[in-house]
Amino acid sequence: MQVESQNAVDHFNGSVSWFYNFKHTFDWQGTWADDNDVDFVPMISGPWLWDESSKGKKYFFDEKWGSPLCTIEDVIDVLQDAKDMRSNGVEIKRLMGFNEMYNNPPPVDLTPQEAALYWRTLVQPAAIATELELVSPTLNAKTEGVTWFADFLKECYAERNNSQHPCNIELITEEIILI
Amino acid sequence: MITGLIANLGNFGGKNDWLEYIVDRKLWVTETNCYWEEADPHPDSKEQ
Repeated sequence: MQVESQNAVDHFNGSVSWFYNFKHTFDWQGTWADDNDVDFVPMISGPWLWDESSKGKKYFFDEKWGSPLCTIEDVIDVLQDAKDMRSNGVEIKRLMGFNEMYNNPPPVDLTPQEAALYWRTLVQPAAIATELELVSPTLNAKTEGVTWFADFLKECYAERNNSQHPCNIELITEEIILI
Repeated sequence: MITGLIANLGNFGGKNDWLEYIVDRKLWVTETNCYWEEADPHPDSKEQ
């Protein structure tokens, strides 16, 4: 770990209650998080799961982003592994959704329709299975972020009665906004 | 942001309580952005 990195996180002692790194686990910040009672929030940043050992992408939500394809069991496994890693530290209680999916045109980023589909088929059921609360996809306060998130909520709400994979907006207990 | 969300959501799906839904969520705000700072970290919310 670089000294600059430790100094950077120490700067936030006492002023933050959570942190994230766009991944499912973290490298070295556990001692700092425990010492300062800071929650780590794993994130499914895009339509894929990370391979935490190689730092590459491991499974994909659709073939247009890569292969092999991801199953619900894969999502549950990575989240459970993340929770297990913190079994002796500050407990992981929440899962954060997709990261700022309005910065690049599809297929680089997800449309609200795609995000809602993956939310109700993979993200939401995996969060339920691992007993994690859901934090919304991240957005900024500008028009593009607000519009994308509103459309995501609409798509999710429209599928609230889907017989196989109902989307439940009530399970999103936090909204995240980036400054 | 909340005003913009409510304007976008309207009464979509026949749901007339989007405002209540949005304000009932906890709002999380990031303390810093995702760009690595080469100089000293910028002041946090306590210092600003």
